[in-house]
Amino acid sequence: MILLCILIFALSGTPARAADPFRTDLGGFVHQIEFRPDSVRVTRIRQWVSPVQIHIPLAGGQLDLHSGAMYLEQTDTLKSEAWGALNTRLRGTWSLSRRALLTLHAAFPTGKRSLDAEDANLVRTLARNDLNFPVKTFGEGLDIGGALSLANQVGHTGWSLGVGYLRKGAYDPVDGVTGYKPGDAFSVSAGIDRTYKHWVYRLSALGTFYFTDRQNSQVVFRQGKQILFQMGLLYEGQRLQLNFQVTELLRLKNQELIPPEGLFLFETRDSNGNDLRGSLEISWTPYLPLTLFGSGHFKYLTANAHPSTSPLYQGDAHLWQTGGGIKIHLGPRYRLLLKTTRMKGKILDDTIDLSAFQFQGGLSRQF
Amino acid sequence: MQDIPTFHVPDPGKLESLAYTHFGQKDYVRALRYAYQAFHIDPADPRLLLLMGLIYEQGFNRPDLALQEYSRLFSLIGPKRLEKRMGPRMQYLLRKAQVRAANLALQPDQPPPLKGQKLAVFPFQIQGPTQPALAQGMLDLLLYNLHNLLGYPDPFQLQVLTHMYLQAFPWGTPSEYAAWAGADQTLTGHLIDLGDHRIQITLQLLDATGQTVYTSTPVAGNWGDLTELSSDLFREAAKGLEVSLPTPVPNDVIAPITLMAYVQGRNAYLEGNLTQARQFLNDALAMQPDADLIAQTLAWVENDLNNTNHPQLLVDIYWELETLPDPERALSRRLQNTHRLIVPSEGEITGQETHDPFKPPRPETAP
Repeated sequence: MILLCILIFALSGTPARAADPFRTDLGGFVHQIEFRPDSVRVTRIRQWVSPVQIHIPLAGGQLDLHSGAMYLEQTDTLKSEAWGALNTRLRGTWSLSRRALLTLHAAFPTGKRSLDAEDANLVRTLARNDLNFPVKTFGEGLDIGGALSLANQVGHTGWSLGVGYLRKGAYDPVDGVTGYKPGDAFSVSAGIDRTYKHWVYRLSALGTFYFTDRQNSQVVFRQGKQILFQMGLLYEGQRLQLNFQVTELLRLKNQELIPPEGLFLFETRDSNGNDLRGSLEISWTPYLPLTLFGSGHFKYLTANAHPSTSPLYQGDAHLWQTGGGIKIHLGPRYRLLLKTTRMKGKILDDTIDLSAFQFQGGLSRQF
Repeated sequence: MQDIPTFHVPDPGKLESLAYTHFGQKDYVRALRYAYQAFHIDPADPRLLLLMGLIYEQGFNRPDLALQEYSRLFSLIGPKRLEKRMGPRMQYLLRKAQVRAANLALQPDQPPPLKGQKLAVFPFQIQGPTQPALAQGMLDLLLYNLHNLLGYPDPFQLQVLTHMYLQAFPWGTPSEYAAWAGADQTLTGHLIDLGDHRIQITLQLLDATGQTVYTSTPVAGNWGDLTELSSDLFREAAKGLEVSLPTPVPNDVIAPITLMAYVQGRNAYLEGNLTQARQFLNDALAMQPDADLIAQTLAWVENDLNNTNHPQLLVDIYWELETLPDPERALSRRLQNTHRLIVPSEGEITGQETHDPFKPPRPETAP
């Protein structure tokens, strides 16, 4: 009965928007991080990614295909590198009505897997939250998911609710490890906007529940539940847009096999520190073909509960990122994007200075 | 970085702004022209609907058209938000529209004003020295009681039509009126003064061609105490209209002298003498405070007196509505925000930091 009511609500009214036209995006970016683990060494990690995206209008909605390749390079006392394809993601989005969106998505395991030891080390570095790499993995198994969002607007206030489910497929993450299935994820999101003239005051929340990771059908790990709170302030003028956001991520304790008995219990020490982020994005369109944009991001991570001598230790980290770019319409069919970002910060209890830069370029063609 | 919004479609805000400027300068023709142009671009703008209503009201004396725009405004915003503030003005405009419709109906070759409506009324034909005001009062009382029972007809609409018809055609007969009005049935009758403070009323129902279809049993009583007379008339009318009366019979009764004061006030109201009408009705209500008919008529008069002047309230509401967002844009924005949180996203053209960085399961936890 509840489902019927939701469907009736979702399907009332005309579709939210017309599908975008057929479009391809080609581009690439390079992201380099440099830090000094001690007074002698300089560790430099460089990530090159060349993604490809295709957007196809389909059945009143839109189908997006995304894939690409990545090259990783770490220079320290020695040089190590890894390269390979990324997973291919397929996503279809349809407006059920002006108040509802439905997305079905899948990630096909075209990405590099069964990593050798050297590659696995590099990928673990990518996944670190305090280094802020844009792409954190080559890919995993066959993932399938869907999401449904509903919204309503009355007067100044809009509210929304969304649910999503992601079924993770099994894959071989490293050499010698087979049949590893990450836990599925179930997400619920809600939010409210209060709009006054051109200003929007926003509150959002997201809760994610993870199911157990299994290897060869045996439970081995469960990611802790995650709760996200986000507060935002937006300004939408004719030419100028501002978006200020503060996000707090709470990650609860993971569950894992506790030695020596191997019981599956909540970890005694919380592997997850606090994650607080802020961002400010500005875009200005002086005239239609040209948009200039700038951004500033801040991330503050607190140390987790592991001792500093533990390999699972994550220390305090502060990251500041600023950047800007330009988007130009080159005629009716082409759009060029150029963006550069600079990051500075401190990691590992503010003992290590870190700097990074990113340069990104892309070209879109509309058919 | 979130999607950079494209340049907004041509904003009818400038057209609306011009419309308001001309409205303020009392150039209502230009104001309406600009408002129409804006309306063609954005027919769901609540501010525009209110402005068009104001232009129709103030500039063209078309309360009927103004009411249409205000009704559409209610459907966009939700009646609860504005009903309390705009309700009295809507009532005032409705009565003005009915007066206008009655005037138009008297023009040659106009369709019957009450065609399709179930009931009209025409004053009793009087034989003897009985005051016409008393007869009118008895009929108004009967009409009021019927309205409470059946939910129709609109007493004010019928009173206005009858009043204006008799001003145009002082010698009009009930049959002629019934044929002109076109209602399914017209309630009228004969009042005979029997002398010694006694009267006898025989009700009649006429069809749309003016033919008599029902004649009631004569009802006689002492006009010094109208309680029983009023109840009997109500019963006879219900019999003729083939409706059943609840038990006990709800019956608003008014003393004769109060009734006559009421009729004086009511006639002054129909002739547009609001101040005089208020005086008479206040006097009548002072004589019989529990008389609902008098209280209702007085409420109409007070409402009209409060709304006769320039609708500053509506102008204030217009500026308050300026703060409202474009509902479709706000809805889409809220929907997209929630959907982005629950759908894994690759960002605009390259992989980017998501709000929910998913850490691949640590390979070292695999057995």
